[in-house]
Amino acid sequence: MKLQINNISKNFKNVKALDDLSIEFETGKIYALLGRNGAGKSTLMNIITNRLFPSSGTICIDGDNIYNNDDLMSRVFLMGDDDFFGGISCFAAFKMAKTFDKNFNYDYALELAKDFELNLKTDINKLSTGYSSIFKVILAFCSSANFVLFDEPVLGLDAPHRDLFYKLLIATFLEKEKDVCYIVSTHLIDEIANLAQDAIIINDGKLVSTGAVEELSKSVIEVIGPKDLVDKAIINSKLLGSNKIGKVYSAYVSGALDEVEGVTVKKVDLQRMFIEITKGN
Amino acid sequence: MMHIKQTYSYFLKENLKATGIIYSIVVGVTFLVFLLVMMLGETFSFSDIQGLIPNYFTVYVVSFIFTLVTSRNVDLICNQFGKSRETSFISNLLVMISISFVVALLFSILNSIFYKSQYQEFIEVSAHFKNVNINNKSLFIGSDVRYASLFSYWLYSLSYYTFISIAASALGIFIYSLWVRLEKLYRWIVFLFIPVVLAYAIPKAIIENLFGNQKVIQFFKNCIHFFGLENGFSYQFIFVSLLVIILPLLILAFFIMRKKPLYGKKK
Amino acid sequence: MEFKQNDIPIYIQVAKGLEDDIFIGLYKEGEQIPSTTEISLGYSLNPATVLKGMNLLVQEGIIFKKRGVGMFVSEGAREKVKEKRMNSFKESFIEPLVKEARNLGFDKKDIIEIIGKEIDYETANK
Repeated sequence: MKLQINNISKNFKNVKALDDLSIEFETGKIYALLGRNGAGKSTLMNIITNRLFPSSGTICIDGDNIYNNDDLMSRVFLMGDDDFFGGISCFAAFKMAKTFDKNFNYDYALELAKDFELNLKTDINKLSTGYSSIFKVILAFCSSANFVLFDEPVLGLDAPHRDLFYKLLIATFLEKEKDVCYIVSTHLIDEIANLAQDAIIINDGKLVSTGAVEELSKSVIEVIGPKDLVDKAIINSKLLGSNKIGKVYSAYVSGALDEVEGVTVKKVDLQRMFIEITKGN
Repeated sequence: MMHIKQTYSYFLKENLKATGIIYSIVVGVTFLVFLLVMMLGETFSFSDIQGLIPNYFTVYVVSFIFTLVTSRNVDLICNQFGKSRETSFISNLLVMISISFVVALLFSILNSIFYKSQYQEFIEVSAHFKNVNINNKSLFIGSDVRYASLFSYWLYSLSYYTFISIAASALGIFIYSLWVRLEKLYRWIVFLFIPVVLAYAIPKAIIENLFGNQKVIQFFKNCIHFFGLENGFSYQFIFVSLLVIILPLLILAFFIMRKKPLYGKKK
Repeated sequence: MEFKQNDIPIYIQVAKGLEDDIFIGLYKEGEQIPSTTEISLGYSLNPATVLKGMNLLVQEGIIFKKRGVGMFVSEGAREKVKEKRMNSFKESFIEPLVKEARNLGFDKKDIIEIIGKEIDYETANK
């Protein structure tokens, strides 16, 4: 099953939040959706789930527009930063989920609540930021939707709970592997880099880079050595950023290198690659 | 259809519960006022119990505010569980209509039982009921005019409650849809609607209280006359009102809601 | 084992890790190795990455797949790993050693002497 984002643009008054974005997500994969604050990640996720409407473009599942289509819309679930159930307990919310989503894994939800030490009797509005995230994460993991979108799922979670989240992400994904697609928007790139198969980087509402995590990070390399030698090596490539400590100069570049003796070339990780291509001037 | 049925049955249950609680509070508070007045030495007759039954104005205000508040909840929950805007709008509307009818049925029966003095005023209206024949039998055997007027009072009360409640809900849905659709800057315009609505409802309630239901009944009769519906009851009138006032409001709301952004409350 | 994003792609790190375990005899020939699920869960790695690493070992004939059961260590796997490591021994250990020794100013005789001494010390302490 494929979730297709076709030429989506979104304008808010004078601001272009998304600019002709086209992405394809398929089930059986975990995606990392990366972008700086205000890059348009949340806007995109809200458009996919019909919380916002695009200025132009369509969202399709296997070629069918999901707009106002209940059957297709229930294949998508968004765990967002909004509070969508007021004045009821977590327990009641799980029951509600079961009424709306016949295949909602209710027993698993209770089990997860125990693992996360979530008090089921607490009113959802009275949960702390961390537990609010946990509650929504549990809903998302137990949903029977094929495309599950996580918008900042680890916001406010402490390290053990984040670890548990990543473990569950893998566990639930493995359980329904071919039928589910997880799209995780996060700022904690190091933590998601090994979990995601593909990454999508958006900046200023535009698609910057997309592909397998291993391949993506290859697009930026670090060249280290004396400045004159490094400069010679990178003469034909695009300089993204540089760093000088003492006499050691290191440059982050994309594109082909010229062979020069005396410089070291290093692969960068996804986080470094992300920083270099999105940091602007 | 399946999706509408699912959302409808869920929210009907939830909102009926909430409506029950709200009216229990309303009746409870009225009862406390009664007790207070009684302690001050006032005495009440049996028919004064009618005062405990929420009147048209109360139903109007409750329905309006209730719809305004719950519509958002319905929308947000529907969206979270993958229901389209159209589904959430239609099921919300159906829930409101159903609740209006349940409330109207309950209060109109209570009203008919405890508000005996009103029947007399309906003798004229109900005169034609005596002539209504089903299978060549008079609807009111024995032609007791009091039964006929009781029946017509109940019908009047039922339709009035239903009409008032549906109208208030429709307005609630309409204003809610405008509220979320509009940019923040323009929301205050919508906000002005609420006092306007109340400003209409409050004087109306005062007039009703001052002049009794006479004026309303007169208006009611005039309407029957106006539409040339002497041979029927007020349903035609209500039907026309629905068409003229409520339906356009709802259609407009529907189109506004179809492309309405949803914003959750940020923590 | 810990998998960090560095010069070596994660799937190769996974393959190397398993090779290590086979080489030291943790998984004997014919024995079952952990499943993709177990590894991806245990180390929080994408299952596709783990599978890619395992497929590398399958291609090299170090492990083999039993349909519906799992992955097993092949006959002669340890020998194969050993051979592979012998081939890369020069590149991984000798070349950097010689380079460093040259930087320090050691000549051929010095290097051979240091290595000889180390071997003597090692055998004496066994």
